[in-house]
Amino acid sequence: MTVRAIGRRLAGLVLTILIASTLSFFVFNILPGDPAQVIVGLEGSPDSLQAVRAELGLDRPLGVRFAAWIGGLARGDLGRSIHYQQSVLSLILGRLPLTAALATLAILIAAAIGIPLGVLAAARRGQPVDWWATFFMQLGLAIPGFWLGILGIMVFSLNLHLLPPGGYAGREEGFLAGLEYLILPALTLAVGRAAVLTRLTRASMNESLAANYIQAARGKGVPEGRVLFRHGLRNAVIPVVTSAGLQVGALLAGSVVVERVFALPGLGTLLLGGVSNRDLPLVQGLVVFFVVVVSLVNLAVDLSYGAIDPRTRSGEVGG
Amino acid sequence: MERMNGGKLGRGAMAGLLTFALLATVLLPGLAGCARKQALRVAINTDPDGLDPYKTVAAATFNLTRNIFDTLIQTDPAGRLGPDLATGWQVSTDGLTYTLKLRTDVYFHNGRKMTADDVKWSLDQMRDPNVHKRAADFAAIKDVKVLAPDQVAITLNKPSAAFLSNLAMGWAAIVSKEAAATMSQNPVGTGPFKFVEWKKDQEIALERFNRYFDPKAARVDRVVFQVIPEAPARLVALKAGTVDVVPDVPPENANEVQASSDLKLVVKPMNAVQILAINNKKKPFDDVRVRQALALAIDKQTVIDGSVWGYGKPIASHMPPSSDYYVDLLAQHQTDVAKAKALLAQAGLAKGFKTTIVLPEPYMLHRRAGQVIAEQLKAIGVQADLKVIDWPTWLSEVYTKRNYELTVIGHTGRLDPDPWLNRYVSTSKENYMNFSDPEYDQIIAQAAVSTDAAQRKQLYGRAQEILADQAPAVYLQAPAMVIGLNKAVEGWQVYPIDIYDLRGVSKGK
Amino acid sequence: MIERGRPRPGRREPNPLKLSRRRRTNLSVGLALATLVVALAVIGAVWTPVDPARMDMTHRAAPPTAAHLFGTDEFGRDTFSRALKGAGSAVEVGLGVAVIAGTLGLALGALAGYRGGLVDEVLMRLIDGLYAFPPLIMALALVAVLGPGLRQVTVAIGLAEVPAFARLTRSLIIGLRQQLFVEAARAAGATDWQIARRHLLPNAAPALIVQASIAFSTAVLAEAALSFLGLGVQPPSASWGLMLQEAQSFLTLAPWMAIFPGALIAATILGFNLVADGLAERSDPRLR
Repeated sequence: MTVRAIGRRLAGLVLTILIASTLSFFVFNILPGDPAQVIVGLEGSPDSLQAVRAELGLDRPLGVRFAAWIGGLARGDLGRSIHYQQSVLSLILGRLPLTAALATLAILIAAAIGIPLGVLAAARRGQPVDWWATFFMQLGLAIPGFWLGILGIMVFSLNLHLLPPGGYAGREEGFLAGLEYLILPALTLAVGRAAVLTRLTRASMNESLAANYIQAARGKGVPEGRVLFRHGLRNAVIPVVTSAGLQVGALLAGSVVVERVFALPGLGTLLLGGVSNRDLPLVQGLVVFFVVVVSLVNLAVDLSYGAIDPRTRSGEVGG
Repeated sequence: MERMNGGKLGRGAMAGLLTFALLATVLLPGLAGCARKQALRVAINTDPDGLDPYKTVAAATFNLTRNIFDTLIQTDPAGRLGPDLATGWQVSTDGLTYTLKLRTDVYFHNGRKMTADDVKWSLDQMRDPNVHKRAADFAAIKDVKVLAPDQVAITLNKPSAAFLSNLAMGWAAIVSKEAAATMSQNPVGTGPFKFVEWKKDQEIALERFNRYFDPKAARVDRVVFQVIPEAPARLVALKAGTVDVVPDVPPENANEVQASSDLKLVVKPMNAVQILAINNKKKPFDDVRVRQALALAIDKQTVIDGSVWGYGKPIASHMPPSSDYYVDLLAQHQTDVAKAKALLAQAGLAKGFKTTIVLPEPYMLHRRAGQVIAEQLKAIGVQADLKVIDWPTWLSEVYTKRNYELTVIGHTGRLDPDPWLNRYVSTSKENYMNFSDPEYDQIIAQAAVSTDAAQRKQLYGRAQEILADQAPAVYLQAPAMVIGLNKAVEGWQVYPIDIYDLRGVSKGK
Repeated sequence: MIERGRPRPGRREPNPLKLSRRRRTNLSVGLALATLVVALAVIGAVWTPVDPARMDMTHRAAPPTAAHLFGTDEFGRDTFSRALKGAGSAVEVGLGVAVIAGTLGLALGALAGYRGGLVDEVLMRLIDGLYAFPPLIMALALVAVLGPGLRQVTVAIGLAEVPAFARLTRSLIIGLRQQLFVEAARAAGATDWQIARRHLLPNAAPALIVQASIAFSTAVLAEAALSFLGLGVQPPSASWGLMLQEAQSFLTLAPWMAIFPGALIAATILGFNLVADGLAERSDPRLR
């Protein structure tokens, strides 16, 4: 990929972020409900409502607030949360480790299940193993994450008392001790991802196993396991990796609901809480953060894909 | 746990991770709860939005801050006022000047001695609407004077019967002025426990303050309020022993708590009412017969069964039975579907009509009550659609703009009958029912400035009758507070205002 | 939850002749499940064993019996009857979303792909901006603006699904535009509209139908998630997501309240995904 093409992608990225930011500002600002009223609540006086509105700058016209928000963004300032009275960026960075740990754990579990299963299905194509792998994959895609989470709580927490039903103590007791709180949520989040990875691996393994050099290796008597994992998978893994952008987006969306079910104080919980408190700066900041993360991952994937396969036009990948 | 499995995970290998997951699954039951410190752990359902009692109106804050701060006057569990930082008070005969005698052995958590100047400073902050979110409660204050290091005089613009009880609310705390700027995150008061740390969305830790004026008050070394938003998770934590108190057990789970040999269940009446508020200006509800028909058609016991699993008491007016001012009007306002139909027919609505009940999303008991009510109203031909809206939308559409027909909501936690009942005064900004009745306005105005206890009681009794007869809302129930406690916990009290008071609460082995 | 890691119609194995049997089974199982769900919806619309709104405080959270196949809920309502009604909500949302997202996405994608140049650039940047928006968040915000309710939720999810359709249509059209038969038609003097109608749409149709089927299952999942979060279908109307939300407080007391609606959601999504898969296999492999 040429430098110019990369430059174009970057410009496009900035534009995409700008559009998404504008959209997020206006969508959330036309929502019914007044953040100041949420603070003042049922018993507060109208005087204090006015005072709160002025304190939060909500008495300024929409256009002025928009200019201030975009101006802040340009300087990397995501604003200040109304509810937490703290900078939005520091809030996001504070919650990121939990959501990142959850997503990482989920993707590791998904890879540990999905990739071997996909390889196996491709190797035993048309046999019962393949059928079961496909069945598992379809089921994994179909089961709603939050239902699986509820079932998990029912079985492992309420009946077997093996795992905590929710909450997180990782910041208090250290990451490792906190891990017990992440097992069930990560498994819940992983099932759908594992299904996607099984499908992708199976498909690209099929392609890769049909290649001449694989036949040649087999002909030379290389053991089948070695053929599959050393030769087959190495090539098959490329499309799997390039699906990362999709995976990150799906994990972020999935974590919103899974964090809610398991009461994990991560980014998803922050977002839902922000919406229900009308903490507009927080919600806008989070959406922009999500958009930037997904766009950057997609960009990185596109760039690497372009490097691997120069025939690919950047615009056509990842969608 | 960390030591046992840390090595394996440290290698970062996926296999190691999975082994860890399996090991943890197998080993956890034996280890759960063994590493907990000797502290009283109370489960709370939401992280407060700050710990500055002046900067919020949220019960989530005051529940906790009672332990960090003191007020001049306090309430006992029955709702009677008594001394706290003020050892006594005198009211002038015109009812305008309150002279308060202060304790002289009170220290802030930063070590400084509390004086009358601190009390004056706090009171001045409280009545400034730019500082205090409930400044309206203290708007009657004209002036605060320091008479002596242990004496202040508060002068009012006009007599206010509710004034003293306002000084007992959580937002009337005496605060340390040096810490004012950072109070929200790092509160400094004079209370029995001092603030230690706050892990956002996880827990707030307090520890015993050794210079508290009553050395016997704090009976545990440390208090941890643990944030557990989901009710099932709070219950599991209680059963597992990782928390000692769950102050809000979902009523449907009360039996589970009772059945456990390690736990005990406490059920207390709550100083709160649940109502079906009616927009009295919207047709057809501007006709009193239509409102009365709604009240007659709704069977309150079924609402209580359906919304709080039976843990509530039916009411007929806007006052909980736990209040000293409560008058029982249930006998005169029994469910009577035939009479309701007759009233609708008189109003020209024999065939019924369509309406919408909006329900605030965060409140399960209101959502459930709304479903039961909609079902019951079918009997008189009223088809009520339900619309669940989130809290900000409810506040803005229902409470501020009064753009609704029916809604289910709760009102809570005041000591004096005036704040309970004055929202039905036709000019009140909090009168989102749009109720208007000249006699009612006059009674409330008279009672608010009366200093004669017997007369006030009689006036507020009449006010409750008017509400029951005119039906600006349908009064459903006073829900109960269902508390789950570890059997080792003694001395937990329930107050008529939103506070968890941990003085006198102990935890044995 | 709206996901994007779904099967995409373009990606398929190299030799379509070899997969016949397994894939055919998929399609028939999928069609059977999808038909079952639609049938439940139709039955629920005309008949339920018990009035799904009827409350019975003496039989609250009661386990399954012959009278109440799926048990009863917190108000003593019949969970089976409510599940039947829930099928109706699911099918309505699924169809509505497929139609809304399909129509708008097709129009935008076709315009961008066929016109190219500045129109394409502007539209695609806009769609990318929308696409980068986490779709569940988008639906959440739209529901907050539009208000709660089945119809509003359908519109919200439908709009959130437009970008996916638009991008697919655009890539299909770009691929087809350069095909010989299109060039030939253009050389023969056919108008844009004629080319679109006679050549582009018929060739893009199979992939779009697959995408519509995916949109259906995505919509069912999204509706369940929104209702679960309390922002979707309104009580006392029945929705599987809403039933799951209500079940959350009864996990130890009445697990059946959570099990049946969830299983129905899974069956619906499984059915429509299998249909999408099966159709993708059948459609012309040279499409992309």
